[in-house]
Amino acid sequence: MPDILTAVDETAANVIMSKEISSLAPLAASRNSTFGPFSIEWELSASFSQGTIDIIPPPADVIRIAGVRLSYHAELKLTLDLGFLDFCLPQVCVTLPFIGRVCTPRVCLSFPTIEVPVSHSSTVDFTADVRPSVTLAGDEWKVEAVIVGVPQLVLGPAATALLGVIGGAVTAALLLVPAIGPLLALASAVILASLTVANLLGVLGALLNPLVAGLRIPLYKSPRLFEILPASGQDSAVFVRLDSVVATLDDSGGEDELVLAIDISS
Amino acid sequence: MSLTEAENIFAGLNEQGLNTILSAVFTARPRQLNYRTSPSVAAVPASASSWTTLPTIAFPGVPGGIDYAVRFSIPRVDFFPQTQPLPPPLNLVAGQFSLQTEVDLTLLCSRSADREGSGKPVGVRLGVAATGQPVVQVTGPGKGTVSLDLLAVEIVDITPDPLESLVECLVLTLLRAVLSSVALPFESLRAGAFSLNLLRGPETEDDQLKLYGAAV
Repeated sequence: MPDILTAVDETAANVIMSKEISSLAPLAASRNSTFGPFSIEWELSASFSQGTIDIIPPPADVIRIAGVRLSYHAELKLTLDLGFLDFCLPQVCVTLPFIGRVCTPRVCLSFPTIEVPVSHSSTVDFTADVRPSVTLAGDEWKVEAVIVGVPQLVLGPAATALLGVIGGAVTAALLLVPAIGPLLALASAVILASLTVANLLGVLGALLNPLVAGLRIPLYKSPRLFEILPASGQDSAVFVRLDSVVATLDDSGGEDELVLAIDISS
Repeated sequence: MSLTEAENIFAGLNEQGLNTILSAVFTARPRQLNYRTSPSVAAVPASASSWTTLPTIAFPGVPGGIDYAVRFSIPRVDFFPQTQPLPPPLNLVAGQFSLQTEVDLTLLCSRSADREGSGKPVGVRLGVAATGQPVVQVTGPGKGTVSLDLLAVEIVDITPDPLESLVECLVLTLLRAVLSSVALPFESLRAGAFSLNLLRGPETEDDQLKLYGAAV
């Protein structure tokens, strides 16, 4: 029998883990991507919340968290190189009686590179299986729930919404470009043809999947030298050494529980 | 039966774990087991901080009073059900613990009326067995302490019986005071894991001190 045995049932696990999930520091990710005539710089921040806990002892041996909400905010900077619209009016010459040869000047139009900022916030809910992992790093014991496999993120609706936001922002920006009037329809068509839901899905997935895969929910943390009694008056603090920490999922008593077994020495 | 039973969070401290904690506490704070009026009573302690200085017992006609010392060994606890033998009439029942220790009682015996230059330590070491129950004090949400309170002490082989009763009463009083100085925070009993609002306990069974509660 371990020196110290602690356990939580699913009711307590829901309270404890939901609190821990909501307390996780916001995560950040960035990426650059290029689609046809423009590139996008992505700056993304994300946080987790909610989730309903189901402790599933061996053989599955996982804690299933259903309905985890990943809330993210993306700041995109689109750089549009409108050079593909550049054109020149050819010189036209005609020979006129009594005047001779007359030519129109050669007229060329060059379009600038423009930057379009886009902000986008959304959420995606997913179900994750996590498993307790015990580590002793330096002089600190940690028990964390770590992701078992990467859950499938359903990002289709978010990508579609993002495409709409980008389309609107690009169109608005194009309207401000001088002399683009006759070419606006062409520009929009080229740009939006380069940017598809599939493209955005790929980038969103590449940004968000690592954040989810790296999710670590703290369950227990303690220095190896654990303070049993604080210093008081002339008495110094009293410590015991935590020699081992074992985390298991157990249902041998007829109820699903997360159990920590700790051995100590003086 | 699950560990949490009808509650949501369980914390159990095995008797071996408690004995490790008591050993750590009294090794770090030896003065809580050693009491004396002066260093000349009994063996000289390692340092001044390793004992608690007491006033002498005043008595008319005894200049400076009576010097004495009391020293306990680090107690060892056994939670219900009983593992360690107990002398009759002690009996360990559910919800209780037993405790074993030794006590050295020493008197600086003066053979003349003049206290100076005289005095010879006279002492006795007694084996002590006791029973008691844990006492909880809740100080706030998720916070509180558990300490050990004694109900009875038995010291065998002292005759006549009234003398045994007198010594047992003395030792019970002293040992109860010693143990009251060790109030273990809930956090220590669960090594910092899973904070709980106490709903049930402390209970002693299955060789453990058990606390039951809900998430804070």
